[in-house]
Amino acid sequence: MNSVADLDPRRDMGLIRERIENALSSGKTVTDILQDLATRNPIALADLVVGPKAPTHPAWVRAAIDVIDVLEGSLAPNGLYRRLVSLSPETNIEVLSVAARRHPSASWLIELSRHVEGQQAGLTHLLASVGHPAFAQNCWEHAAAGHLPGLIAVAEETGCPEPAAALAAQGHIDAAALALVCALRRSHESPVVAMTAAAWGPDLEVVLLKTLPHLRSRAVAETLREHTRGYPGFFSLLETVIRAMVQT
Amino acid sequence: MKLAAYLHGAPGRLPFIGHFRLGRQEGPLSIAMAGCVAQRSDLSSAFRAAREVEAVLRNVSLTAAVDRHDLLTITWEALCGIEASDLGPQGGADLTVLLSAADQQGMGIAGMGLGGVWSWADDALQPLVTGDHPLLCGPGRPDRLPGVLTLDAPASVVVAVPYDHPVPTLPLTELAKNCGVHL
Repeated sequence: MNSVADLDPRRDMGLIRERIENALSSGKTVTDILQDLATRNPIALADLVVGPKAPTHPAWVRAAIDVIDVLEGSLAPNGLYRRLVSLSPETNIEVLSVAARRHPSASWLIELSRHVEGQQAGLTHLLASVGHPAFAQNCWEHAAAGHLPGLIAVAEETGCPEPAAALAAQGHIDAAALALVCALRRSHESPVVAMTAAAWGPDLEVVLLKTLPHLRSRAVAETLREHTRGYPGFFSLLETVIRAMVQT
Repeated sequence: MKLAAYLHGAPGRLPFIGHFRLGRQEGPLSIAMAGCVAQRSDLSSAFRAAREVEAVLRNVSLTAAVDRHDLLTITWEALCGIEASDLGPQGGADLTVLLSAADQQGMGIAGMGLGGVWSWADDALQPLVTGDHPLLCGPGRPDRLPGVLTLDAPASVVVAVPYDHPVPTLPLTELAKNCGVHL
């Protein structure tokens, strides 16, 4: 039996809160308390977790994540996850990951990502939504929000073509070029050149030229050459660059 | 006179699937072309088909052309000479193309799969054809060049929307970007 099992959530909220604080400060688990409250009174649980007097201990946030199904039944996800993030900086990424997995197409994740990840905004959200129908839309929204390093990191980690295409579509040409190289580095078969052209327009050479400073490996340069045979000006320039590169 | 031909992109995140664009000059003769092919097939097939069209048009010899009519005919024959298998799953039956050619005497415009054609100058668009003009027709790659529209006044930039464009109108707002043109 947990330490609040004998208390009535409607009447003894102050006492419940006190016992939870005691459990947290003595390092005891509170997961069983939250699960008990989730069963008995989800509204009281929601008040405890995100109300103005909510504990700000990382273990509390982690326990809340364990009963996230119940919490989402009582609270709008946008406000719920924002509040969880505000409770404990230490668990921010965990909260964002859960939010991104459960709501991959939610537009509020763009702002939440920026708040939690700063410079790397978009990384957690996009990695969680790879393969989801909303992935492309998410890339476009993060690109529009200027989350360039996050998108480049996703291209590097997944080889997906969408980050480079989204960056090009939003006019971030340098970042698009770097994301393009990163995608090809990860996956030589990535249709990143084709997708970037589909987003940017048929005259892709201006973007392709920006890839040159980012080509550190001859293998990646040769892959890029294979994908850009249709752009003879760039193709010829890249051949010259490749000849000057050492084998890697 | 240097010519430019632009084709408006499709709605959506990837407006330029299968889009191609090229301009060439041969002495006093100029030709510009823009279009799309295999736009409803997969991204890579459409990309390959578009680059193939550009390659053929880039490499075709124009030295025998003496006027704009020759330019259009030679270019059209080059398009018709592309293997169907190089033009995506529909073999070029979905080809949309805008051709604009000029010599010292005037200009000619031809195309397939176009829903509207305008000249673009001084931040203003001027429609070049009305609804029942033969220049406005479905896509494809007929053996012979479709009818040519002759212009009295030269139009150095010509813009078109494809036949299946949701609205056959052309707002000036972000027009260049919507045609995939980044000046």
